[in-house]
Amino acid sequence: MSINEMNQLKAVDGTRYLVFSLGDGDYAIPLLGVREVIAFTETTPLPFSPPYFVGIMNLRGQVISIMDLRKKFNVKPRENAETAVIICDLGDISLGVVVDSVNSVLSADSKDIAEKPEFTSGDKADFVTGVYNKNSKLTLIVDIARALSLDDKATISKTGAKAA
Amino acid sequence: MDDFELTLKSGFLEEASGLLADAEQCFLNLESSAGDCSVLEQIFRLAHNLKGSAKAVGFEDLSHFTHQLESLLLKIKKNEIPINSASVDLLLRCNDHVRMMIDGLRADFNAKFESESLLSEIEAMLNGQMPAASEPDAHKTEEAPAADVHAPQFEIAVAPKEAKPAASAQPPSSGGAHAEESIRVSFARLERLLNFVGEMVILQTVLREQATKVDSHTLNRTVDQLGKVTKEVQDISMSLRMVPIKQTFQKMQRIVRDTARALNKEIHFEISGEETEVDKTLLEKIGDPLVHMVRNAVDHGIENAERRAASGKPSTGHIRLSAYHRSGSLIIEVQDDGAGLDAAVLQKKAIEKGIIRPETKLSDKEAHQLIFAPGFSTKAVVTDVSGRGVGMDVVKTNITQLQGEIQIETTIGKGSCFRIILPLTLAIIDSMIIRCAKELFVIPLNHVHESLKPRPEDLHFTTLGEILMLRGENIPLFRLGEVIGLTPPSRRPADGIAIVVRTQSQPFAVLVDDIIGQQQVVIKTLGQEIRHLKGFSGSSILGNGRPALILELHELVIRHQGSNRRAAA
Repeated sequence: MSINEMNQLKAVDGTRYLVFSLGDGDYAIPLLGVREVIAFTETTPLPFSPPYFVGIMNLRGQVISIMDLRKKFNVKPRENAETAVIICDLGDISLGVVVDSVNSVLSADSKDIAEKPEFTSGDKADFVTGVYNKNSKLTLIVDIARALSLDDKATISKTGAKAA
Repeated sequence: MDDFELTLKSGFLEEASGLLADAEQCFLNLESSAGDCSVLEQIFRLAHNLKGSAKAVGFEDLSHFTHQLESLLLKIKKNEIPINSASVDLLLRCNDHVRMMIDGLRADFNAKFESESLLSEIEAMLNGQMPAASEPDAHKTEEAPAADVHAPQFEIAVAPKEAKPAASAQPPSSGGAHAEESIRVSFARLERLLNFVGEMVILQTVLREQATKVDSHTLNRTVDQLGKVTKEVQDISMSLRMVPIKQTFQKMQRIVRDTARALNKEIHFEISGEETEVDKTLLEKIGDPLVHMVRNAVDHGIENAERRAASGKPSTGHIRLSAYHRSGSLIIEVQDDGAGLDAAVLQKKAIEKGIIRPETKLSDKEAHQLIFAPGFSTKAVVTDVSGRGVGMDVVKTNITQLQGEIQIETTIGKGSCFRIILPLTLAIIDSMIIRCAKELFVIPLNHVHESLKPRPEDLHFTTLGEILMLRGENIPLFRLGEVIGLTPPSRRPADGIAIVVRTQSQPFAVLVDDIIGQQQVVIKTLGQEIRHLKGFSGSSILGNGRPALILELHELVIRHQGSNRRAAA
């Protein structure tokens, strides 16, 4: 599935999302972009990469990059975290993201999803695509692809040039 | 049109679509990163390849157009034309035009194309006139709607009328025949299959061990059978990547014929070993280098008839293309009985072109390597065939990327033999596993010239960096831990192992903590998000189940030197 298709999906009623926690906050990504959820295992660090880039791991014969979403979003990891890795299929890229816990699957109607608040600006806001608001609990819907393609490629190259 | 020609042409069109997709990406990159030489270099090579192949299979219009496009690119590369929206726009429109031509040709091999208006725009830009943004539009609608990128339908619709009835009847038949023989499978799918087969083999061995603990005869028998089937599946899936080199070789036949005709030479072309099986990815990547080498053999290798007569050779030149397997490598040879390479002439040319300094002393072998230098050409005139000095440069780059090497054997007056030595497959390499700090890394074994434990008195700290004295030779030494940022810089003589690399013109040594062993490893490509990271050609899953990075020591060292220089400045 391409990133475009995934973006289109969010408008449809009854789209399902995978909800996970980073620190105290709840976040969600479209379920169709999720391949599987695995326990955090050993990774091999990648030199010249930014701090949130945990490394690469072996997923049944495929080498996959692992990114720590908590570091990326600048969120303090929970102390009693049940750390999990969500393997996402983002178009041509497969990527694992480390989260504090995976909570539930949410089926949302488009009326429940609001635009992101206008005042949020800066880097963080760019990969938030909407806000799910029900029973006075906020869940930020994020676009992993955008989180990565936005600046990661550039950051990795830049960090690489600066490092060593 | 015979079958042979049809195969060639449809083969070319498939290849061209790939090249175009790459080119488009490059053009777009160009705009966002103006002044990045490597992007231009890549576009230039793509255009050059397209031109060469188009000419080889006889698509004259396309070849003519891309030749002009190449001239434009050359000027941009030399900074004579600035990279701005006007020039990039023209390039993109050229790209669309080429795409349209290829689509048109796919529908009808005899399609004719009207490229005049774009060509005149290229001409104008070559002559230094920067067209105003509105000008080309007006120009187009007035005179040549055919070249407009929005009107490909018009072109294709017109084409069949010009085509002879017999020719237009043929393409469908060729398309039908091919569909039955084979199916095309995306490489990504094949790779996924291979990944899972690899995992299956591991699981199967685990299962076998567990089964021996259970006292069940039937279970053990089933596990044995499963083992046999697994082995079979593994063999078959590995062989899916292998294809005979035949089609690529046949393409060369045509190239020799046409190039020879264009240059008025008589050449007898001989092929051997066309059944040799080659990894499909490898085959795709050696196609272009081979075209250049074969064309070079015709153009530069074989002398013209008068010179051959003068040196008492038969007027017909001989070129021999052969492929064979030898000790786990694929060898491809291009042999000619032409003039051979004259080391003295090569040196003189290189000095003229400013590639080497006048005082540089080179051995004959080193002088022969000059033909691979970028921008080197002994031809005075740029022709359709060769002379721009990109060909052999491309050859060298492509072959090196494939972990291969090129040897030149040449005798003045007798001829030359270019020998390409390549690994049989790109999927598996012989490697050395090393340790640095706590991490394991993989180094391709063919990069390692030797490894030794340096004595403390052999290590010298200088202002230029660390030097390893090796049998009287001073070799720059880098500590891997510092190069990849795993350990802080230190000046203590380390008790590591030095790995000497001589694949580049300048040897260097890298100090690692330990050598774990040598083994064959299966290469796994890195994800797209990190593939552009220089210094790592891929990764490999080691026996401990964890991936390890495959190091390109040369690139790592260059990057390290670059960052040191920046730090000093």
